[in-house]
Parts: sequence; C-alpha cells; structure tokens
Amino acid sequence: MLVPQLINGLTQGSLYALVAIGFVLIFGTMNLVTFAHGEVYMMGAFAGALAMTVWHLPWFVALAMGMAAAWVLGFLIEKIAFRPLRTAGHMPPLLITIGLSIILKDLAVILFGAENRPVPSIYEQTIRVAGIQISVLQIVILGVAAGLVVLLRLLIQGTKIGRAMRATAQDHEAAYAMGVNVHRVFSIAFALASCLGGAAGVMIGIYYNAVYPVMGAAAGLKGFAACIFGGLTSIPGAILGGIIIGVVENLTVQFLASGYRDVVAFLVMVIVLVLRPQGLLGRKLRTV
Amino acid sequence: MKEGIMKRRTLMRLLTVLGLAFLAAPSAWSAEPIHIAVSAPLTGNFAEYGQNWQKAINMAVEWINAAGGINGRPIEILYGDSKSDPKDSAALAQKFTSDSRIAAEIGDFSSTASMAAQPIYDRAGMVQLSPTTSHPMWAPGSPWSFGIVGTQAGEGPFMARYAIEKLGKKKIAVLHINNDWGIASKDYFIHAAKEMGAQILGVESYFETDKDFTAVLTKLRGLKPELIYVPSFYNEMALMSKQREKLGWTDAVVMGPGSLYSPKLLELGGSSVNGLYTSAVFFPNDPRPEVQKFVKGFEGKYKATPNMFAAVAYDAINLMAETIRKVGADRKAIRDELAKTKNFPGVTGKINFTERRDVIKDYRHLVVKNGQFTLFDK
Amino acid sequence: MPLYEFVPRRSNWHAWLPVLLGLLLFPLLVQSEYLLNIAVYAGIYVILTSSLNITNGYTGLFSFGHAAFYGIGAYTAAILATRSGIPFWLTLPLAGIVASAFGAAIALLTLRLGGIFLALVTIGFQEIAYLVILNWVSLTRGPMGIPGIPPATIWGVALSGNRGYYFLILALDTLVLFLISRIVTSRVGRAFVAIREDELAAQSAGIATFPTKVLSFVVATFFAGIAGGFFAHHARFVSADSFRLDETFAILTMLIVGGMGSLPGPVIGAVFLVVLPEASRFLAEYRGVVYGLILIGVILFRPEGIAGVPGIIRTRGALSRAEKPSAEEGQPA
Repeated sequence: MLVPQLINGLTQGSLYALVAIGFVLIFGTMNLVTFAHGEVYMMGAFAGALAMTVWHLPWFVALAMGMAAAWVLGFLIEKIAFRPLRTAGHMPPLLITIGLSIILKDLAVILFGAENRPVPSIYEQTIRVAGIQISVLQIVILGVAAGLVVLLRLLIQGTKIGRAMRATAQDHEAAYAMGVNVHRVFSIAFALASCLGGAAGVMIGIYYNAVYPVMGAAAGLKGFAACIFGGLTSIPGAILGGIIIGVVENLTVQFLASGYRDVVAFLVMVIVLVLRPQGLLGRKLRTV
Repeated sequence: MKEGIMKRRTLMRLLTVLGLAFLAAPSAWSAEPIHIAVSAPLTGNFAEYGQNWQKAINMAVEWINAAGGINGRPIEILYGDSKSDPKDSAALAQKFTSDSRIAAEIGDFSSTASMAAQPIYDRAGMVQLSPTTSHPMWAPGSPWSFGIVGTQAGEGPFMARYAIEKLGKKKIAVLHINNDWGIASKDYFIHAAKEMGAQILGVESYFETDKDFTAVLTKLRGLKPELIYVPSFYNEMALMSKQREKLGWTDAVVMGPGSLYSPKLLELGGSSVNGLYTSAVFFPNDPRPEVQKFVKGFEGKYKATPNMFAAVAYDAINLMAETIRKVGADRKAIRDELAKTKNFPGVTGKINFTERRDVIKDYRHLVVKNGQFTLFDK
Repeated sequence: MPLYEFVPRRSNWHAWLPVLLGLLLFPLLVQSEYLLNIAVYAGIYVILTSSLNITNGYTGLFSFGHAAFYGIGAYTAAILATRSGIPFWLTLPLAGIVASAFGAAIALLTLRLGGIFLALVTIGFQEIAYLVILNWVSLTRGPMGIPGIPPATIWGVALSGNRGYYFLILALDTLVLFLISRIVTSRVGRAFVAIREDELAAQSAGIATFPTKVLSFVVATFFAGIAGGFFAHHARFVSADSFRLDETFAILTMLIVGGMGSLPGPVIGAVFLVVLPEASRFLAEYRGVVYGLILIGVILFRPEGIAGVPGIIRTRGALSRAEKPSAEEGQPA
C-alpha cells in the first residue's frame, strides 16, 4: 500500500504547494504574512462548488470561477488590510487579516450554512499503471497543479509585471526608485497568490466531494507550514515543502494513526523554524 | 385575613391569565402552557440531525395542541442550540434546570453531549430523555436519564450476526468515529464478532471534522478485508463511499449501524452507497397505523420522508406528553411515571424501559439497492 | 494622568476602591444565574488577557499560543481532580505550574527568534497542543473531553451556583491583577518595557535580555494555566475544542481592543468583548463579523485600543523588527 499512499500524498501535497506559493508571493514581495489566506481558499472553493451544483457548469469552468472569485477577494484584502499600513511593520496587517479571517468564516456560515455542501464527483474511473490502480481524478489534480505552477513561472520570468515583481522582491525601495509601480506589484502579487489559493480550494472540494466554512483553517496553516519549510521566499521550496508535508501526512496514517497526521505538519514547521529559520531552500525570489 | 389574601391572589391570577390570554390571543389558550426544553444541535456539524428532531417535534406538538393539549394546557417547546458540543449542552442544562417553568428536557443528540450535561440534570432532578443517545453507560449513569433508541449493547451483536451469519463475511476491518458513541459501537460489534469466529484485521478511527478518508481507506484496503464495519453518520459515510469509489476499491462489503439510515445518505452518496448494509428501528413502509400517521403527516408538512432521527424525536415528545398527561408537570412525578412506561406504541417500536432506563429494540436488516433502502430477506 | 498609566496604589484608592465595592455588590443586585455566568466568564478572560499582555504588551514578544497554555492548565486540573482526587486549592496552582513549565520550554527553544518568527512557532505549538490533546485518548479522553470534574470548594464547601464562583473569580482577579501590577512596576517590569522599546539598547544598559524574556513568558503562561484550572472546575467539563487557535485569536482581540502595555487595557477589553456579544443577542449569527470589524477598526483607527500605550503596536522593538531570512544574511535578526 506504499505506492498508493505516496500518490495520495503527492495529490494532497500538490494542493498544499499551491497554497504555500501564495504565502511566498506575498512574503517575498511585501515581506508580510497574511492570516486570511485559508479563508480566501475557502471562498474560492465555495465559488467553484456553487458553479458546479447551482449552475451545473463543467469542473474547469468552476475552477476558473473559483480562481476569479479568489482574485477579486485578494485584491480587496490587499486594499483594506495592507495598503493603509504599508509602513506599520508586521503586526498590524497580520492582526487585520486575523479580523478578516474571522469575518469571512462567519460570512460563509451565514451565506452557505455551517454544514458540508456536497460537490459532485468527476472522473470516478481508475486506471492501472504497472499493476497499480490510480484514480484518474488524482492525475487530473496533479496536472492542474503542475500546469498552474508552469503558468506562474512563465508569468514571473517572461512578462514585464513578472520582472517588476522580481525587482520588488529584491529591494522594493530600489525598484520604486527605478520607476516600478510598487503598489501595483503588491496588488497583483496578492491577487495572484489568492487566485492560486482559490484554485487549490476548488480542487480540494472536488477531491473530497465537500466544501464547508471552516475548511480554510487547516489548509491555510498547512500551506503556511510548507512555505516556512521551504524558506518563506522560495517558490521551489514551497512546492517541495507542500509535497513533503502531503506525503508525510499520508505515511503517518499508514504507519501511525490517522489522528496524528496533522501533528506532523506542525511539528515539521516548529522544528524547521527553531533549527533553520531560513528554511531548507531559503533564498530570495529572484532565484526562481 | 387569610381569606383576604386568598381572594386577592385569585384575583391576581385571574388578571394575569386574562392578560396572558389577551397577549396570546391568536392561540386562544386560557391555561398556562407546559414547557418542555429541547437541547439539540440546530447549527454546527450535526445541524441536520437536530433540524430533523425539530421538524418532528414541532409537528407532534402541533397535533397535541390541536387536540386540546395536555388536560387543557398547551405544550410549549423551548429549544436550545447545543451544536452537540458538550460545553454548550452543559451550559444549556444549567439554564434549563434553573428555569422553574420547565418540566422536563429532551436531548441531547450525541452521547458525548448528553453525558456532559448528565450530572447537572441529575443534581437538579430533571428528566433528561434522549432520543438518540445509545452509549450503554449513559442511561444507567443517573436515575433521571432515559434513552429510547436502544443501546450499542443491543445493536452491536445484531450487526455482527448480520455480517457473519447472514452475509458470511469473516474477515472484517473497522473504521469508527472517534467519540463515545463510536467507541462503544465498535467495541460491542468487535466483541460479538470475535465470539462468532470472525477475524478483525484492523481498527481505525476518524474525527467528526475529517473530510479526507483517502489515506485511511488506502490503509484498510491493504489489509484485504471482506467487510468493513463503519460506525458513523450518513454525512461522513457519503463522503467515504464516494472517495472509496474513486480509489477503485469495490471488492469489500460496507456495513454500518442504523445511524446511517436516512434518505440523505442516498442523496449525498449516489451510486457509491449501493450495496451498503445497515439496520433500522424505523421503516417508513411499516404498515402499523401509528407509523403511517407519522409518515403521511411528515411528508405532507415537509415534503420529505422522515428519517430515523425524526422518528425517535417524535417518539420522545409523544412519550413525554403522555407521561405528563398522567401525572402533571411535576419534575419528580414525571421521572417516576416515565420509568413505569409499558408498551408505549412508538413509531420506532414498543417502548418498555429496562431497569437501566434504556430500551431493547427490534432491528430490521436493510440493504441499499438501486439507490433505495430495501429490507434484506435471505 | 492618562488611563494607560494607571496602576492601583494606596494613594489612588478613590479610583479603584469604588469599582471593587461595586463588583462586590453586583451579585446581591443581580439574581440571574445567566448574568452571573457571564460575569464569571468575563473574570476568566480578564486573567487570560492580562497575562497575554505581559508578553505581547509589556515585553513585545508576540505569542499566538495563549489558548494552548490555558488548555494545558484546564486539562491539568481536570485530570488531577478526576483521576487522583486532588482538591481544588491544589489543582489550581498545579495548573499554573504545569502550564508555565510548557511556557518555559517553548521560551527556551524559541525566544532566540525575533518578532514574527516567534509568532509562527507559537502558532505551531498551539496546533500541536490541540492535536495531542485530541489524540492522547488514554490521558485526555480525546474528542470526548473530560466530564464530571468536581466543583470548586472553599473550606470544604462545594460551590453550587454561580454566585460562589463569582466571588471566587473576583478574588482571583484581584490577586492576579495585584501581582501583575507589582511585577510591571518592579525592576523586572521596567526591563520588559526596555526590551520592547529597543532590545539592543536594553542589552547595552546591562539587562540580561534572554532570561528576562523567558521570565516574561513563564509568568504569562503561569496565569493562563491558573485561568484554565478555574475554568475546568467551573464548567466541570473540558474538551479540546475550547482551546484552539480561534480562542487565542479571541484573547488577542480582547487585548488589542482594550489596549496593550497598560494595566486597565486588557481588563476593559476582556469585559467589553465578553459582555458585548451577550448584550447584543440580536446580532447572534453576526457575532464573529462584529468581532472582526471591531478588531480591524481598532487597528486602523486607534491602534493603541481603548486604554493601551499609544504607538505600542508600531514600536521599533521586537514587535515589528523587519527580518527577512535569506541565504546571504544567514540567521534572522
């Protein structure tokens, strides 16, 4: 059962990685931490689930809608919580995002109810590769995650805004002096981060067939742990961190007990922070 | 002098009653209502179950009040939302027991929530009649506690016989919800199954809030069981079944206790719950007149077939009303009369309390076929 | 004198004595168990918020794990009382001692990290503590919680109603606030503030910053544990979900809204935010939204809260030092 568990872990880990990349984009460019990322992920998941259950749209349209909703939400959060407190240090924006996360969670309960909202199944088939049964949906999820990472890389490496982001990440005062519209970069980085979170939310909803208002808390914290694991500012580090946490979690269920799966993620986070605060691959964003 | 006070009191009471009647004009009741408290999960993870109770209880109360109430007094239900959280159910117990209007309490939903509130009802001397609590240690825990759904001590061995003798499956794995009910349910099943010669390959648990079962299902699959016994609720069972289907694990039979018996399971689980075995103390096609009256009424009012949770709540409120009709709204008298209950015709079967104040139920064998619960008769 | 500088002394008895007398008379005027219950809860949160203020307010160490220490205290009292039959007057200090032992361990491990990293480690610890409580069924009964905790006793008499608990928590609050006021006005307290304002300067002024920071953590977590012990004997039931990250956030919100770095701030914040949701029942389902909006409003428009030290949230000390790890820079500042 080792190989199937590795595949389960890889699937989950790839979605944690998407959440973790969001934290890297935000910390990398703005040097700030958000606590509302999990709730953005949850809202994206609800947007996707509604698209599939109420309007009966195909899953990829739902994915796009979830990403768009998260984009808008991220854009707004940056405006409310981060823009007015640009020079206030870490804590005030962090505390504001705590407030936002409480509000978003409660709004979701008011709008959608506290219970599970079922999400229809897609790709229920399995295929056999080298004697191992693999779920088609798991392959689709891995494909979506990989595709989004490739797109992000193209954006960061190949476009003008990507260049501006990299410059801002290195030194935003220098970038500002060189004529980069730093505020616009912050805004886009935040929205982009949220958008990836929303994508992860939609896919997890499809994977587990359920979305619910408190789903963001655990995902946000685990994405965050993955981001710390990889060193806060490294996209490859975040991807690696996400996948390692996903795999270790599933192996914990296999060899220990299912209740302890989440302990592992946080234990890893604390140990990394204490022993090697710069993470495994802690480097600046420019080395992406 | 004494007479004077009496007169004044009577006058005051008359005025109060008139005032109340005036205020509550539409209901046209002249007598003070009898208050019964209900502690139930109306929001939170178990909200659907609590709302099922609410529907059934409201309908029953409507019927009782329409027929003249209890000796001329209407019933009024005071709901408290416990979220089935032990913290909240204990707080509600404080509130209910200190409210002198309340005659008795119905609830809570989970064994854990009921047991957390138990010492408070016990101390205050108020009946706590739970429609669903089935932990074998619950009702014996206080002379004021009553359970009407039957206990796992009865259902566990019944399910084990179903699995081993009826279906002939002897290699069994267990996946249970990690709470008082789930643990009791698992223990009684495993104990009986082992006595019948079955082999328990593995036992795993999950938390009420879990949504991802892929890892634990993958682990159980590696043990190659013929049957998995899953003490759980229909929400998680629906998710579990869908995820099991996606993992391509189709060569094991799934079975769980009567908590799974709900039309909602079919709705949420779709094709993935076909071939699932369970049991029921309540079956809507039961021809008994009290069952048909309940089912027809519920369908007419709510456009949905009642599930087991609605049925036990309906029995709980009717039993309570019947008891109060006999002895009045005195907390102690209600307890003593309730303990003497003989052959109360509930929709979930006849109710006779044992000396432990729980009930021995008749279970039926069910299986899901083509998206419908059907009686298993082989 | 501004409110945030207020410290109860013999000389300003006319300010605090009437409040104390009013609080003593309160349960004689109010008969409702429900209102007394709210008052008892407010009392518990006064301890929690005031103790969090020691690290987060006075010393400028941002801890996000307060609910974990609160929970450790509650479980310590619950387990000792139900399994070993240890009486209330012993479980209460033991709850504080066990919580502060964990506090010391966390502090020794992590206080070399500054600002935001400390916040992150304490969040990790918060989640781990919750999950361990949930999983260690043989000790904690896991998701089922521990029922049947005996009530608090005073001279052998078990408290039955909330009136007794009210007087007990009032006495406890008075004691805790008195101790905290003595600490923060002592040399140690001034060292806390010096570290918050500028750690390097504090160091060069001869303050042993590391032991001082550990001490601040130990004191804060000790009182959190005491609050937990009281909670266990009052609620008479503990379960893991009372001590999650949400709870830390709630305590933190009370502290921010009341104001950090002052004695009255956390007391005002705790009472205000416990009473407000109860007083505005019509807001029932919007409760979280109201909490969140108040928090955001305070940060944006009055960062020092109702009675905090002005500018505290933006001080240049450990609170907001901008550190950014990178391979070139090696260790964070």
